[in-house]
Amino acid sequence: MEKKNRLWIAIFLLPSILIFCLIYGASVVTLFGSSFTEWKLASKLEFTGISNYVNLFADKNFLKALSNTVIWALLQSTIHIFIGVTFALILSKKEFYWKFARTAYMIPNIICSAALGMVYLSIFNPKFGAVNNIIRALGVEDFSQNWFMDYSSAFFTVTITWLPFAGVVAILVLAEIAAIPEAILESAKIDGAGEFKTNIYVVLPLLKNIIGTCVIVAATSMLKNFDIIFMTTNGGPGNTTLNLPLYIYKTSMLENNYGYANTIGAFLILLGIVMLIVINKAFKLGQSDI
Amino acid sequence: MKISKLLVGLIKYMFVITLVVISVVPIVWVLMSSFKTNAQILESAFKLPETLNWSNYFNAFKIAPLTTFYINSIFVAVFGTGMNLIIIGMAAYVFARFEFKAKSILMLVFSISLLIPNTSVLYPLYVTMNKLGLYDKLQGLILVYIGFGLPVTLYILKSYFLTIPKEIEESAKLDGAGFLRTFIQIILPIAKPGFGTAGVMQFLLCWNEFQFALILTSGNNSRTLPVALSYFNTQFASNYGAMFAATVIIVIPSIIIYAILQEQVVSGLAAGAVKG
Amino acid sequence: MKKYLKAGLSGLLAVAMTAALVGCGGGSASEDTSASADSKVQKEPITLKFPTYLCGTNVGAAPFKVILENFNKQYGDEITVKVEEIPSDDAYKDKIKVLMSSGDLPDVINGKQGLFDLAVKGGFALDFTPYMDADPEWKASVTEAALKANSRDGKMYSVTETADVVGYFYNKEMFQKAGITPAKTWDEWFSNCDKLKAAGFTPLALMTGENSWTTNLILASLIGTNGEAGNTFMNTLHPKNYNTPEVIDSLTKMQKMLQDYTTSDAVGAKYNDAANNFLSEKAAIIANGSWMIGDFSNTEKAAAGFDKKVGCAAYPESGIVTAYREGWMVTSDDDAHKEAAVKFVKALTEDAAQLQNLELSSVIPLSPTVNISDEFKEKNPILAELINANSSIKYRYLEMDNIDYANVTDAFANLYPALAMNKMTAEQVVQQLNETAAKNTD
Repeated sequence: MEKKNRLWIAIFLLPSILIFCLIYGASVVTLFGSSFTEWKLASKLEFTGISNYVNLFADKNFLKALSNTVIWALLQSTIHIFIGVTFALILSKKEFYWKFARTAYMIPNIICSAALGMVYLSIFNPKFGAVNNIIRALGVEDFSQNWFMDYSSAFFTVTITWLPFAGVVAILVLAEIAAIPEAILESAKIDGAGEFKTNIYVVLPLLKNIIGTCVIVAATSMLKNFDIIFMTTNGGPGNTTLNLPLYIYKTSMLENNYGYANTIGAFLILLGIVMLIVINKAFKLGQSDI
Repeated sequence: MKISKLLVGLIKYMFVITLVVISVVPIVWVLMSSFKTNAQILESAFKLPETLNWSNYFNAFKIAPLTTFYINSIFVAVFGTGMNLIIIGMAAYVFARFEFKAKSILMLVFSISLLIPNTSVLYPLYVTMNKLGLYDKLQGLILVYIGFGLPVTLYILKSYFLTIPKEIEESAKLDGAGFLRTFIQIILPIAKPGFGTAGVMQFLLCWNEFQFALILTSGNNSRTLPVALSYFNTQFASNYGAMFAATVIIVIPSIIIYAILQEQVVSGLAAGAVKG
Repeated sequence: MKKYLKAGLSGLLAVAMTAALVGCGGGSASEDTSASADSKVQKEPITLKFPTYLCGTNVGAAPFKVILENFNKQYGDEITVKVEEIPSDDAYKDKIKVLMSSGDLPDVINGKQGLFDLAVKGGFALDFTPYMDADPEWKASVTEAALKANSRDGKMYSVTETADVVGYFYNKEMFQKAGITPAKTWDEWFSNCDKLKAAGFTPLALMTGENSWTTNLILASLIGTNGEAGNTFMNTLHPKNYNTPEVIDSLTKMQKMLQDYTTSDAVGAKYNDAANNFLSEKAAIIANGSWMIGDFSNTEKAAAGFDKKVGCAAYPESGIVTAYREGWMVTSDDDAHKEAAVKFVKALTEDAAQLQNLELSSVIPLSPTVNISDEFKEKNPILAELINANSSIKYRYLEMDNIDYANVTDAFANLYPALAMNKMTAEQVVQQLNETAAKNTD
């Protein structure tokens, strides 16, 4: 029986392993391999040892991009998750509006980023944008904050184009809440626990696994976040909103410096793995919780 | 007591209403803009369009090969989502339920796909697809998207499988059900909501991905809708009106599909209410 | 039992499908090679791969369609052009680079966005010299000067059909109300700006997003008309040292323009925002090329009759941007394809093509034998004004985009906001530009 299981395990894993090797195999090898070389488009590849890695830490743009990326990952795995989970808990009571709200909240995640970028550029436009118009209507005359380009507001403005939109977290958590047996909630009610207490002491512990998964997805999404920044600030002003994926793109596509771009990529992967391990430890993921 | 309850209710509704409103703004903006001219879009962002001017929609179809791209997108989304769920679902089940030697290493390796920057994948993946003869083929895009969706589907499904009590499988085992039968007849029906949410994520990936759709294809026979959007936006001559019309055409079906899939999640819960 | 079987099948199906995907793909690839082997016997037409950004809303899309049709009429039996549409320049650049690094370059590419230098450096580009020698008529219509500009070490690597001749457009009505005429000196330029402001108009439609296009044209003019040193700077490719008095002086002037004389959305704006500010009469001046002329009479973009209000002039100190475009390069592998590709490049650049570009997208032809008729000039007074202004010029210089490395062009978009908001001085900006340029090793 056990032997038979081992065979099935292999059969079930094989297609995924195959896909992984096909899609990422060459990239992973190229990425780590070339991170030890000087490799530029239209010139020969040269082995340079760890000098790329040493250079990283003297590169002001890299350090700025790194710190931005880490800050965004932290914000995303705390505030973003908090907003999404709260939203799901409220909707899980299935009041009359819940289906509409569930669909509406997901919309920013559905629209393609090219259109979304245009929308935000226009909302925050200093001259005719909605935000400045509202502030002017409230009585602040001649208010013309250049939200995306002013040093004081660029980071904040870019951040709120994704931070509150936790539709994905909400639907993941909602599906999980819906799967909690009525009996558990009933018994909590009988024990005299109110809605708030039930949520904190009964529901949330049952959601540990899915919240952990959400944190992983949300935090790592910040390691790949590219489109919106590219479209709105392009990393500026200066390097205020530069993050690692954008810096990798610029290094590779504008400077044609593939070797160095891949060094940053390798560093990004290591950073991500550390993040995954920490999150896994924090949420004790991988253990059945019932 | 009553006042504090009222206050909590008020805060609750304010929270939901705020989030819903800021989420709906983009689509309303896009919809309004799709009836405006370029100049109107660029200067009166939040004025209602003066007339229902459909010319942007006609232009959208004239400028970009939308119809072909539409058919391609549906094909890619259906197969990319279906096969992703089957293949990754099998792996997720094994990860959630069984112990084997290479488990943590394999999970770590799979996690790399969650972290690797797109820019670093671009060139090696192009070479791979070319060698396999999948360059400029819809099958190629499907294969790539199955891979791109690997980590998220894996995490979501694994987490969902973990919430299913082991007793159910054990009783099935006692009834004489084997590995495969347990998976298909017992686990899959219960995990329908998990598949529903993972399916939504995977569908959106297939429907919206732009960069690889462009790099891995060379002709209109194998291109998908997101590529169409850049037909309207070149530096010295943009047609924003037509671009937003095209955006509406692209976004509306995904909202509908999302709503339907979510309905499935709920009905799936009712049908497989054995959990717990 | 039946269910069991069905279940087993569906599980295996997933594996099989993956294998099939790979398998059938591989299969068709080998079919391709056998097909091409046959074709040599049957003398099937040669297929040229031609990815192009000339599609969608690109200004060159309309003339390209006509040129391609004519080419197919003439050579359809022997050459098939397989056009791959790559909308947007950025996507074009990214894709060609991927193709280049894997050695899969198509037969004809455009040298824009730094691709010219990469193709030359990588040894992919064909030298046109023998073809030009054999075809004096073609050589005359693409001009010796343009060929020279696109030569390296005496080899002609690309052929272009046009030179960007870029002055600036201004709103005649606003100029009249402010009581000014196009400036002859930069001092007058600034006093004009003051007068426009006093008359209630915003003088300049600037933008610092994307490649800072309209802003950098004025910067290039400031530098390029700043004596011989400045002009030399603006005619030298790939500067690594921006720390010259001319550049610093020009950046300081640009700082003033960004702070005092432009629209409130200029910092961070895209080209379309700046263009719209001019088209909707919210700014009096925009620096841009002749391809914009069509927009002036396009009622989707500007009010009816707007084109009657637009004038065109050269920059102060009698300067005008004159830059040969990077043009078309042949990057085929074998001789048969090279021959065919050269024919196609000729079709893209000869007199007939230049005429199409002139008529359908207001692009000024290079060839001395393409006559711009008086009738055409009458119908296109703004273009005529530009051609007229172009006839007596003291300083000619390139665009910032031409001379800068790609990453320097990109850096401007992040540095202008700092300059405009007094976070950096011109000296500090120059320092940053030097650091960025230094990252390019060649």
